[in-house]
Amino acid sequence: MKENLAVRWWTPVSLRAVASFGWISLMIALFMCAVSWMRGDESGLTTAFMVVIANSVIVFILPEDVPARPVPEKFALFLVSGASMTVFSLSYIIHRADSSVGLTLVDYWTAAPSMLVGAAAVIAASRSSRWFMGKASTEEALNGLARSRKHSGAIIQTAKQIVLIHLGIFAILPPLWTVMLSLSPGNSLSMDFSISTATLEHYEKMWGSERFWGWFWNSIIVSVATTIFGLTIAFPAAYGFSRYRFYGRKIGLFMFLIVQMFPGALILVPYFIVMKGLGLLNTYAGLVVAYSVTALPLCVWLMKGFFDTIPRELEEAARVDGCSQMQIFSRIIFPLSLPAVAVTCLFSFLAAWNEYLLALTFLSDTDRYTLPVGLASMVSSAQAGDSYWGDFAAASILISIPVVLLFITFQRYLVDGMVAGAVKG
Amino acid sequence: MKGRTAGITAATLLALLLLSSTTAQATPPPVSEVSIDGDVDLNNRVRYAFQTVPESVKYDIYYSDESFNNLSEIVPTASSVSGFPDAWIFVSEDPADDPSIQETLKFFRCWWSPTIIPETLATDFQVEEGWFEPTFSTGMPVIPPDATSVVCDLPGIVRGQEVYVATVAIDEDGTSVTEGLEVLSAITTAESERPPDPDMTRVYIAIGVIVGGLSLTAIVLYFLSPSRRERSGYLFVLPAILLLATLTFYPVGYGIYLSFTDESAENYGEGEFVGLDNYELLFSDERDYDGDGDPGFWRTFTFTLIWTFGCVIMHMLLGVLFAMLLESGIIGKVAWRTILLIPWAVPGYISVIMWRGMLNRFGWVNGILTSDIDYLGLDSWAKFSVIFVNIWMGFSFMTMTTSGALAGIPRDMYEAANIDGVGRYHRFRHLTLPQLMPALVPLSLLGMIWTFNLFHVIFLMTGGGPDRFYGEPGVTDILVTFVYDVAFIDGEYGLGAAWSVIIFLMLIVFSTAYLVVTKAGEVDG
Amino acid sequence: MAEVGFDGVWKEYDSDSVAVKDLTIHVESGEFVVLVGPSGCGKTTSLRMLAGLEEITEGNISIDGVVVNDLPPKARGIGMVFQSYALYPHMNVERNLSFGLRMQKGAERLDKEEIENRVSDAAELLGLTEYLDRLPKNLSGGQRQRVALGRALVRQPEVLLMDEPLSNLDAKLRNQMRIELRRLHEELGTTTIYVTHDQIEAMTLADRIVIMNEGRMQQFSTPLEAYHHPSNTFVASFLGTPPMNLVEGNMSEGVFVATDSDAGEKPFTMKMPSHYSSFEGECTLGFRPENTALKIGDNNGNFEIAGFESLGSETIVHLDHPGIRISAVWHRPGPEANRQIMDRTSNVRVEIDESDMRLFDSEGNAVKEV
Repeated sequence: MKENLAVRWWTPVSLRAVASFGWISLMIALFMCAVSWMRGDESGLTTAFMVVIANSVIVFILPEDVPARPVPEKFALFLVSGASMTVFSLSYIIHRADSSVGLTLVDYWTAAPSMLVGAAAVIAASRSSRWFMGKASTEEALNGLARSRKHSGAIIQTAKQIVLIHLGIFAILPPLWTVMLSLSPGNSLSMDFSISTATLEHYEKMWGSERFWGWFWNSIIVSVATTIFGLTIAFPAAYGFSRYRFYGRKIGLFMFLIVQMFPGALILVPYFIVMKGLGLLNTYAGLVVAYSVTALPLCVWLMKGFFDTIPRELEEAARVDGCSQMQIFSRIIFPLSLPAVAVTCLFSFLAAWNEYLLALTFLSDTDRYTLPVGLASMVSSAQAGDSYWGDFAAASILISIPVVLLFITFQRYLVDGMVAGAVKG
Repeated sequence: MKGRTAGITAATLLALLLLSSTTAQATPPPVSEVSIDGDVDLNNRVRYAFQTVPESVKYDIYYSDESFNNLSEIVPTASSVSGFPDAWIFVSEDPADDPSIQETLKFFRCWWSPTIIPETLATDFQVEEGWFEPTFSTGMPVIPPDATSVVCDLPGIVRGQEVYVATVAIDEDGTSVTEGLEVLSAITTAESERPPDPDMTRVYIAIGVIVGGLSLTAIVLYFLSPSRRERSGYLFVLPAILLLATLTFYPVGYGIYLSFTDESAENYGEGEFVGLDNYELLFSDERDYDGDGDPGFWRTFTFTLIWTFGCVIMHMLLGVLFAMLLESGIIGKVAWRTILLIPWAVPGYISVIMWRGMLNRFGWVNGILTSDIDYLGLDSWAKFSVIFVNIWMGFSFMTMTTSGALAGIPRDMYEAANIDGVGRYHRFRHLTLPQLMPALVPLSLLGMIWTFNLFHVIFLMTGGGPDRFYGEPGVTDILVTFVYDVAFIDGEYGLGAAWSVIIFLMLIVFSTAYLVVTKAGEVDG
Repeated sequence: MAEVGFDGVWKEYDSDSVAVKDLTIHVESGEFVVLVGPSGCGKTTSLRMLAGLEEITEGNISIDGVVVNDLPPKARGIGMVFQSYALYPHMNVERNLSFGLRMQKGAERLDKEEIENRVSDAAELLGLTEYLDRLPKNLSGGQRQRVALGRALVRQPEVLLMDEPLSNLDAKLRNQMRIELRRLHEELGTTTIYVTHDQIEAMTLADRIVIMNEGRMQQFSTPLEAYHHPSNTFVASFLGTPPMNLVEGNMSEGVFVATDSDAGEKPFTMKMPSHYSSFEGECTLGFRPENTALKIGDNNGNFEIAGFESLGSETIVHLDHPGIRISAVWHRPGPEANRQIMDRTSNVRVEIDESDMRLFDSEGNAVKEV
């Protein structure tokens, strides 16, 4: 072991931190460019671009470990880039402040990281000049390493949380907007949301709207029926495939697999005609049957996979005891496969609840409309009709909340189910 | 003319209609009250006729759910957003000259006549002698100054609501002229995709054959089965198989059969076998309406590819990245997972419509970024927006499943790598990624198939538009949405079926190739 | 080759759970040291602290004189063999061995030839040359273990760490590998720190052993030293099969009298050798079963045969004195003795040589021989 081992393996934690946060500020700086471009703000774009360049230098130039030889040029670059970042970000802010629109939240958000990271880079570099020159002493290195150990955890965690916050905002932006829209007075798209003017008028309107509840009950009926009907058909089928080896079993399973590849839109017309032939158009039954068929392959696969893991000895013991098939189903198989059944039910229910295309095609009476079709008809294809946005937003929230809550409660099962299905499929 | 008009001849349910027109001596402008009820076509159109006014250069048409009492209430802040009419028609000798045409507008159809002034509009209004279609300049209908009356299909009417329509004529000075402008009539077009009751016996027979045949097969197999125990399987499995066969395999088969006929909404139930005609038609010049040498297929196909790969690649990239972030030891992991679940949890159609609202020219996104871009109306932006929204809707699912897959990777392998001094990037590339492959490959394949045929995002977002030229696919049309237009709007069932078969074949070829390549990859790696 | 030092090392998880308490040992360059103890005694934690996979709460660990507390694992010049082998499942043997080497960059970069040489040397050393392009799932347990070892060795480490490497192998393989490891150590001479709960491995492999219990080091010495002169009752009972007999009692005037003796008037007594005779008070007497001679049928004997286990080469005899149970190992008892044992005769007298007696005080620590 060499004596300067510690020195060899030490990078000042401040520089590492700057580089880590530098990634975040780089992404945001790129966004700054995009925003400027979208605004048609050319000089802003140029400034933003300079920030991106300076930022990139910082992120890519940091030597991984102690430089093998003194690298004054990297030191200088680091300092210069850091300073440039700060300066350019500042000028961006000033430029925006002068513009007709003035400074907005977005400007602060895009410029602040670069400013901060740039300043931090300058400070960190000047404090680590000896390190760049390869002149750090062993003691410095040991202290530095100890400090790294102590702080790097917190630094990395902070960086991750910042990324997560951005991610979270990205994820909830539309729902957030919808909530705000639903609480704003008036039905127009260009809303003016503020706490003082928040109103529940849209909620009241939707809550009191017979049409809305009509759609709602239609959806409930169809979805629950789909779940029950689907389960009734899929459960025995899965059991049959799992427990029995009969000629044609493989073919049968294969059929289920292939069917997953038929997309609904493709077979719409023939589907429609068949439904018409069976007299099932514009009826609950028609939708229920159609949805059940759509969900069938997945349900069968999921439950079959689960049944495969239940040992046969249990059933054989029951048969020896004299149980009938139905009793075996209800007392042994069903309770043991509850997780799979639950996931299946959830999938079927949600598939029916959220389905748009088939409902649109099959239903002609407006009072038969399920929620998706009804809701979509509120907004239809008007380019910017401001007639119903507020009401629509309120209805959306009312519909989404139960679904989201369901999802959250059962998220683990859903994910496991999908993974199992995907990997097996 | 073309089969387009044939769609209009589909059976309809007449809607109640109230019509009042006042001679436009002075304000208020002529207003017709039309209440749309019952069966309305999927594009919610109203057919509307008005008499033209000489000296006008433009006709603006506004809709509202409240009566227009005063014209000044309408212009410039009409029921639609801030001064923009819901539809407009230009008047010009030479449409190519018009420099003011920069905006795009939801496409709608209209006809003009220099001689005919219709008193009523039948639901089966035909473009016959004396009626002409306007020329189109970047999607704007332009009629010549000598037109006396105009009939147009106004899109964007909401079902089940009362709608008021107002027409305003604008002259050269930009002032509104309503004198002489008369609304002639308005009616719902009610282009129903529902065909009349054709002869259903064919279908009954087919279904009967299938159900009977399968049941018979099952019974025969049951009795022939060597094992008394195992044959019970037939009983359990039969209902599901029957359902599947009747409602999936049969329709697919029927669709394939349809593709070889010239069945359409016009001659419903009387389609004749025409062999490969439909397939030829798909690629022929006959359907090349805008004269760019491409009958719509290649353009749509290209965009479908861009759409599919763009979405799926980003889904996977973001999914893996964020899953790694979630699994890398963060505080509040459960809370973050819940938040990231939301894009997946919110029903799809709601998300799409919400994004549509946000990306509207006067929507929130433009507001926050203080920009002024018509995200859904400009060609490239429309494509980008559609892909962006789908990415938003799908990344959280990929994140969750990858997260689950990541949790299954043994940890001690990473400790060994730590001791070996393997850096973060290499750890990911050589250790994590290969372990994820078994899960990612089927997931990505499923994702691609699913995205390729994803209907509701584009349909509800832009409807396939912006439409540039009638008869051609819109800018953001993918194969399935255009098929929908062909089959249900134009009523060309046979042609639509041919499209569908082509799409299906493409998918099969692609899936096979994909599986072969990735399996080969697995063996090598 | 490097020396390793633990200096007052503590590992605390929360305030309630302390895994390692005040560990201080010094390992010489080239030594094979085994950390042994029951599960949960802190041996694996200590190893992992040395490797850099666990944070050190207090104290210093040094390699070759350099304190390595804050150095990342790759900087410490160590190689590690994991209990579960931790092989890269999707890479064949050759790539498993070369992966770490190929990933080095900067000043540490190795050229292809060097990597190939190291890999083939390691493969040869461990008998893996034929298996170089197999995947781990196609290897037997023993082969996998050797790959794990190889992976550690190609790094040419200063210190080799092994975390219960043999525990997943069957008994026969384990014996084989023990010999292999010994041979390897003799050939390479790398300083090795080895963790196991199996005292046989400890006894046969180690130059010196560290016996740990509940986070504390109990004894640090050569195996034989620990065996013959355990520093406390824990060590005494941990090493050796069957374990050392420990009888609690009292010393007074050079005579040991066992307590817990329901014998009433005839307790178990033993006259202690002179080097212990000055000890007074509560104590524990220890003597190994193989050093326990039996005189069956002796009227002075108060022991009764309670049971026996006949292993062929030797017979383990369990004896009862009221309130005391001890074992004795009898090598190749003759047929007469066998019969007596099977008859469960009583009146067995136990004889122990003075040099084989050990004394432990009331706290369990060995009493110094005067």
